[in-house]
Amino acid sequence: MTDLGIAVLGVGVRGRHAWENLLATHPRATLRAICQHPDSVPQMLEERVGDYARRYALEHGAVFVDSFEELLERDDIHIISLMTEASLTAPYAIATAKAGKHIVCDKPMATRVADAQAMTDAAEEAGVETLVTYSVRFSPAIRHIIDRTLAGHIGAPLTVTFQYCPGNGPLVGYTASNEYRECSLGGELSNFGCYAIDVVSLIAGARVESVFALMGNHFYPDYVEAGMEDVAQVSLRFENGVIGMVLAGRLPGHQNALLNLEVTGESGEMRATDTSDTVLVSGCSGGKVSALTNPTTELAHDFVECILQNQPSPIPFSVGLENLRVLAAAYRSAETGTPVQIQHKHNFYADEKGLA
Amino acid sequence: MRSHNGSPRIMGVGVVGAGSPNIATQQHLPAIACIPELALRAIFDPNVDGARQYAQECGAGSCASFEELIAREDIEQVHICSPDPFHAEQTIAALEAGKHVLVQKPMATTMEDARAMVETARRKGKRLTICHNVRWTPIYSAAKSAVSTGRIGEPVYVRFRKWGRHFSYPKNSWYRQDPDGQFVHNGPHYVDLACWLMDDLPVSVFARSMRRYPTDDALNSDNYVSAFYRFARGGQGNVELNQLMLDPPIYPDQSESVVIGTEGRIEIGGPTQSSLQCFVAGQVCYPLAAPGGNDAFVELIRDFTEAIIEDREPAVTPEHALAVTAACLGALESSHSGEVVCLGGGTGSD
Repeated sequence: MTDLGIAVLGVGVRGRHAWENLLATHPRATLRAICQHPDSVPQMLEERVGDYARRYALEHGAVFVDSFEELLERDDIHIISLMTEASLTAPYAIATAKAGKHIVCDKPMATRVADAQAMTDAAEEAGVETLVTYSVRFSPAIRHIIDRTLAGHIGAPLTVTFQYCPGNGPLVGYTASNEYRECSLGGELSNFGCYAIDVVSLIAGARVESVFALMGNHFYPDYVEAGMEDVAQVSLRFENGVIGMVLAGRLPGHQNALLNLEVTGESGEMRATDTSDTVLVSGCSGGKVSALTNPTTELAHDFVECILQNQPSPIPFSVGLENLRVLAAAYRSAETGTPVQIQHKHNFYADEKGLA
Repeated sequence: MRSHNGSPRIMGVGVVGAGSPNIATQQHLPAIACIPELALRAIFDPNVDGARQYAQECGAGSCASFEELIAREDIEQVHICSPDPFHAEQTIAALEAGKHVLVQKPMATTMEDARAMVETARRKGKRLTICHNVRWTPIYSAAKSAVSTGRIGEPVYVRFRKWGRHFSYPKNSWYRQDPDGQFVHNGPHYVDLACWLMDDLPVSVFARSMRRYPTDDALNSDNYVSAFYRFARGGQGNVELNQLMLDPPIYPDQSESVVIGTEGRIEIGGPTQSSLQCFVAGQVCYPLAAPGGNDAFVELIRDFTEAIIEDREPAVTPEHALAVTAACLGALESSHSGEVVCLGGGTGSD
């Protein structure tokens, strides 16, 4: 098989990550084309306007393509990384799928559950592989816990708690705004909490049926003004009875990240703390895990390998769709002050927010 | 401690529920003996022989009934350490008899009883406190000091986690049948710590729970509770009791806490950390010195005794304990109903 050609739509959008470069570090993948979407929200681009995208293309040895349609027609492009604002991704993803290209989406994959459903359906119909970049599940200690739990080393999981609060806030050069909130679904629950929800859901091994959330903005004045949360805690109950808890936020100043994953199973418990190379296992043999690879690079390479080997994606759109259902329910819960039940149904077009 | 006129004052104490190895005999009696200004006068327990033996060891008398104990004029302070269902009735009776009362947690098993206890104390002009002794352990005192002095800015989030297995109650113990379970029995410790560190009280709670006992060593209650609290000033908290880890059975009880403030955070306990660490903006982390100190029970009882003598509020006021009780019972109600439960709430400063 020839090497995979990588393209990206959307460069320099605040909060989006350069997955096109990560994908291209695979020995059988090459970054070939850069394209910018004309409807990009100015506040999300900040200073990266004008000929930024053309210069980005030159800098990375790729071709700048004027239009998205032209990008879709190129036979030398096999994977398109959609680094657009989450609120704008859906039509691009659907068009990409129809053009037969594989898709990488940053998180969250959309801001409306109906859009995420449409993206998932389009990809499945077209038979293309998709990836939502929940890379935290590839962090060494986290992955170790996931693997051992799914292998049954502590019995069936009963409770899963993930506190995921990076420090070093506020983000340099970033100002929260209404535009950012609308482009991204919300604040730090959408930004960091989605990773935690992904890990908790993966370990629980079932879909979420009930969500309760408490949110606050305590650390940054611009978050208060934009109505964005800088800390959120979410309580989850899964269809199989597992209880999950997520704490997400961006902590102020130069303090270590608060990162704790705790899994209680029928016959043991595992936990990882912010010393990310150590996993404590109680109830069965313990383990110390050395930091091995960069999780984002490993995820990107895994996805390329899946396409090369005709294997299913490790984190397809269907996972992102479930994650977005939980996020949307959490924001609804925080807004109403009541728990929200998630009724899983296929067609969300009738309900704008995709909630029952 | 001295009385108002400066003369040394010896205060007589009676202890209810000290007839076998339990919190009263293992903690209250030794603590009383450490405070020179207190004198244990009498013990009552339905296990009359056991009470007599402990009383003899302490050089005190034993009473044939609870009523006899609270009628003694040489007893000014009564410690209620009987099983939970008796706390309210005995506390109210002792207050009505003109005694100051220190009652074990939970102060009551219903809000109606808890409110009656507080009302009685206020009406009789007697001091009432509840045994939230954990806040006097050195590590938590040091953490509170760090929060109070503003090291982490304003506290906005607190989490307290207790995990391990349930106490090995005897097979015929009331605590095995207690439907409210450990979150009401011991939960007041955890919720009190959370509120105390936040210097705030919760206004609402949402909780989830589950029950799993793989063997016949079971309690008649949920052994996992996770409660989400919203505090009056807008902060949040999570108190988790996780006693699901029953197999293998030997599992040390552990607890850990984290308090996140606007300028840093404090982490207390946990298996991989030094006991007390503070993370503050501009500094990666540094350990906080947890000074050695007297036994927590000694400090609590000493504070209560001084409150009586000095005619001031004790460190744990009955109103604060009432709010803590509401928070625990509310969590139970929420976990059963699946709904948010509104609490009284109000600022802390306790």
